[in-house]
Amino acid sequence: MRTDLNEQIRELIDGGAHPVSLADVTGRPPVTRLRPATALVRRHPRRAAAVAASAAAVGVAAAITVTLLGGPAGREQTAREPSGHAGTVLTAAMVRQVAAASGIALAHSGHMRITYSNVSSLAPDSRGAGTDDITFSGRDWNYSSDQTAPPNGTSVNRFVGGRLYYYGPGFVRHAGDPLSWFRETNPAEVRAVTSVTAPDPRELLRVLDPAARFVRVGYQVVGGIRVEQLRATRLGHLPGLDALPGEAAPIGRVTSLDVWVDSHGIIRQLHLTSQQNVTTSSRKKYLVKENGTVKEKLGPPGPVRHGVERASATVSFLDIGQPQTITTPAHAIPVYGRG
Amino acid sequence: MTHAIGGSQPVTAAQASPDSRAFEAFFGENEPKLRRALVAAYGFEEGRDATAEAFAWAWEHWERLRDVANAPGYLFRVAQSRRRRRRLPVLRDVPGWAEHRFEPGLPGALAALSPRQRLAVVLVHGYGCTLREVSELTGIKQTTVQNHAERGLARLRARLGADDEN
Repeated sequence: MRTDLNEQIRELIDGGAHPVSLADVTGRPPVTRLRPATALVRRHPRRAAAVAASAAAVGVAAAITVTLLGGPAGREQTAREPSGHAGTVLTAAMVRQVAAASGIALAHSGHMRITYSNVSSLAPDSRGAGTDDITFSGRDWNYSSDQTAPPNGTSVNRFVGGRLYYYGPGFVRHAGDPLSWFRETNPAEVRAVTSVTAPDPRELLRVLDPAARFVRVGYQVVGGIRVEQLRATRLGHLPGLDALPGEAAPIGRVTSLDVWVDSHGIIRQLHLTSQQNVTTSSRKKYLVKENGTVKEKLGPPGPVRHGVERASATVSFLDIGQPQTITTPAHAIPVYGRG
Repeated sequence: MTHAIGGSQPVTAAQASPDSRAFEAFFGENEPKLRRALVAAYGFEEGRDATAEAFAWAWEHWERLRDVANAPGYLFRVAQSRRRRRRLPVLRDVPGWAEHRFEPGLPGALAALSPRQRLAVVLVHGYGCTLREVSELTGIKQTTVQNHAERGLARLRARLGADDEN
């Protein structure tokens, strides 16, 4: 084998994740959902005005064209019923009522299915898509992730009875091993994982914020249930979307948000679209011989390409009011601290 | 042999104000460091995403962050809080692996380490960071970093069947 393991590690790490560009960072929308430990932050007078001015001056974030993607996947298309309220804004009390009714319906157990997709105009063939299925009952939850594009199989994280289990092609001891359930035995790892890998459908209900100014769109039938479609008209601040896991989370700027609620005011479906500007530049690698040794060199930067990445996600709230059962996997293999 | 993990990266944004220039400098100095640490801990895609999210947060809160004593370490915690909410295989399925020069078993061997061991091995052995640097960045005690680095490297070598020293 090669002698310089350290160099190989650098090759692997640097080769697998390209640098983040400054334009990517400054072009993103505010990430207000982050709440790092406040104890680490010193208090200083706010200089919001100065920073706002500098943000405007940098100007690397190109204007984002608001583009509504296609309708939510899997939605049953039916003729809309005439509605005398179409286009009217829901009052804050109405929105809060929907949030409260939905919260009560999901208070103890729930089932959420998320279908998502994303595609970049710079690489239309490398589309990403998949379905996440999340059930919870009390403190127990099951999170099944099926990535269909690119195909990555189905992985399951399950937390039941205070124990954490894994299943899927990513969780094998050795390449080629048959799939098995694993049980995490490292308490620290259990705490770390369960603190971040348990998407709670109820957190999503925070998007039902009066500040979003929902308007009535019309009536449809979703999953055999008559529901009313509500559309958010103020998309600048939508709390709760950080509850969406992984690829289903919005990228860049949210461009549309629709929710469907039933006659009891309980949310049945949610659909959102988002997009962000993307910029790429490639550099080719080539081998050169110097002083008798072959070295890898980077070529000149390639042309910069600008494009737009679009993403959409549909969240279906299923089995409303029905208890969920999360079973303990049989014959799980104990593992300690596997990353 | 030591390799600075800070490094410099070209930044191209317009330079229009002291705030933006300061952020550019901060970004150029710390992006490689943070990205490598997060990639080591969470994998290529998730680590890179977490890096971008963390710096986006830094850009938004620059007036607050610029005076934090250990801003990179603070951003590391930000990134941890924003990492994707699922567990995926780490350090696998890298496009164009054949173009790179490392043992085919290295990604799998690194993936088999615990996140902290992987983090310590990559930063300490891969990039020559000092224990103090890793400790400041990750918030892990220096002695713990040392233990993770030593044990992780031993496991890595065992899995790779390496018998060389470097």
